[in-house]
Amino acid sequence: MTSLQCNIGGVPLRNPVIMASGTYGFGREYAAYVDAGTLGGISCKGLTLHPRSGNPGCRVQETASGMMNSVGLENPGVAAFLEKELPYMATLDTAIIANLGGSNAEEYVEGARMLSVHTRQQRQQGSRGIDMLELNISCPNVREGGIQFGIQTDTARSIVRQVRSVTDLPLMVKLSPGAQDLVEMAVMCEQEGAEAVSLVNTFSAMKIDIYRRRSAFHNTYAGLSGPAIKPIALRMVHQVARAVSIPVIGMGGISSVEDMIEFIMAGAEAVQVGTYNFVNLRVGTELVEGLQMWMQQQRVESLEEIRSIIG
Amino acid sequence: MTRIISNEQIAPDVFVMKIAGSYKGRMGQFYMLRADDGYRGDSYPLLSRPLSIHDRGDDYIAFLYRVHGRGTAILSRMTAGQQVLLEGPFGNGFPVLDDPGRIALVGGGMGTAPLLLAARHYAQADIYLGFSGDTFGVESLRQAVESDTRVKVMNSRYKSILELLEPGWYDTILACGPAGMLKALAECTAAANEAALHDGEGYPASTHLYISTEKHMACGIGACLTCTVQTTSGNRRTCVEGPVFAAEEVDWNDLTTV
Ligand SMILES: Cc1cc2nc3c(=O)[nH]c(=O)nc-3n(C[C@H](O)[C@H](O)[C@H](O)COP(=O)(O)OP(=O)(O)OC[C@H]3O[C@@H](n4cnc5c(N)ncnc54)[C@H](O)[C@@H]3O)c2cc1C
Ligand SMILES: Cc1cc2nc3c(=O)[nH]c(=O)nc-3n(C[C@H](O)[C@H](O)[C@H](O)COP(=O)(O)O)c2cc1C
Ligand code: FES
Repeated sequence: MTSLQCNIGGVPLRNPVIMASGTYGFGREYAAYVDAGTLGGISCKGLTLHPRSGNPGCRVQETASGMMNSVGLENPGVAAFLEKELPYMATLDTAIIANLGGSNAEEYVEGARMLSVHTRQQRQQGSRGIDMLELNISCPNVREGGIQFGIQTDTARSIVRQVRSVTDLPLMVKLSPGAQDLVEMAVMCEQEGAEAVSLVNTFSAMKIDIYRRRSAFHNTYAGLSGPAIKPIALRMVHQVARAVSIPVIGMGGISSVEDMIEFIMAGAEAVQVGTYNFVNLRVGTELVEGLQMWMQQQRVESLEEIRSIIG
Repeated sequence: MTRIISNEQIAPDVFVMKIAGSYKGRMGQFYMLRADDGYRGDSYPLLSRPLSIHDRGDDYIAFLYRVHGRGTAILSRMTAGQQVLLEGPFGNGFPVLDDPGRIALVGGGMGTAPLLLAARHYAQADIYLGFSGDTFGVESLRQAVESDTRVKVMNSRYKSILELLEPGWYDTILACGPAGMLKALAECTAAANEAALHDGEGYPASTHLYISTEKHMACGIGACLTCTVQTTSGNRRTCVEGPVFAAEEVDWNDLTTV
């Protein structure tokens, strides 16, 4: 019997396939394509304490084997999430991860506190809250709101520490590939009591409209994702996994079962899939089934046998 | 199910791709298409391309498209028997009105594509088409409406479609085309509504203009928020709440700068 089970900070996942933040909405839109009950988890669209309408102008450009987005954390805010989206997500038979961004420490702290208090209350009433908090200190698409906390370890440390002090939810910190010292950043998260780190968020990137002679994006830069970033993301996951003992959730350009296996061999406890959901709306379930088949063919009974085997 | 029946060039750079199978969809809705190279791999193009439903029958669906960049160029080189992947139908489509009153369909260039289904639904409509170069798709539109004299065509790089029609004369207008054309049409309609031009004999009390818009898209199903358009009631997703919007709802700056 093969087992796909994994565990992140005490949260058991049925398998290591998690849908990445910002690519899966709040789960509703994919209901017609994917049975959420087949997935390891869903990380919801990045939330902020207050609603945000996101960036103006063009928000997506395609590039060789990838895409750049400049959505700019459009979201309804934490309160509206708790009221309107979470009740739906709670019906899904999969781990619910709330992805939280912010433009200053107070916003992060208050957002995290609201999510934690709500979950505690829900559980007291015998219902379901969120299972995990993914702290997004890595969104490149908002000038004030995420990535400036993800570059320098000391700035990030203060956010992680403050959020840790107000939440007892399992805490996963989502790291930016733009971090000055990614390994140091991950070690810091472990020191500050995070249960896991996830990486990578999108790479800050650019496209110029040569006829209009300006950036294709209103915000000048945008976030690159998709297969184009996979080799770099994989190297980063490998480096981080060597340096910390908390679970590492790997992502960046995953588009096949083989890609997932690479991340797991590099040291990932679980993986997230983002951009590829757009290419194939059913990819979540297909990857889970494909992973199961791969393991049977390769006579791998548990992911432990292959995890982190690349020295 | 996704076998190409034919992929015919009908004007320079303009093709009609007919695909076998039974597909759903109303006028103004769209599908996301990509070539199926047998390997849903990581090569270009990554994202699927949104194309409006041009025609649809019990055992086929057809798309009318122009070669714009690499994605549509790849589609244009496909031949009968090859496979495409398509998901849909997506979007709201043109409104189904019990009583549209006097109705016009307005298409500019590729904006002709979604009008065929609309013409079949509103066979009483007057149709105005503007091209700048070669015309295409006109004949099937003539066949779709009650009288082919209702179809007026202009082919000019310099003239505005507004030289052909007076928006204020209609109760309902459904339009698709370049953002600049749609904007001019919207301004003209708004002016007519405001100036109470409508008070003239035979004119309706007001004109309702619906436009089909375009935004770059990634998912097509409402999850990624890359296709939002600013409207009077906040951001709306072109792929779910659109692509058809009431003209007075949308922020034209947001539509024409992209
Ligand atoms: C709802 C909707 C319906 C459409 N219906 C039709 C149709 O029936 N016939 C037709 O010829 N065209 C239609 N278009 C436009 C068509 O989607 C683009 O021409 C096509 O995506 C261009 O792809 P490309 O690879 O050839 O061009 P490239 O410029 O190389 O494409 C690069 C990226 O930009 C996107 N993109 C470029 N132009 C547009 C555009 N105008 N709208 C949306 N995305 C764009 C592409 O999808 C791709 O992701 C429609 C667009 C939308 C949003
Ligand atoms: C359209 C889009 C929106 C995204 N929004 C968020 C977000 O709100 N919060 C976040 O932490 N990451 C966000 N991401 C980053 C993804 O979760 C993921 O880290 C990144 O895209 C790399 O994975 P991929 O190559 O599989 O897409 C977004 C990515 C895309 C493409
Ligand atoms: S294309 Fe993703 S929300 Fe519209």
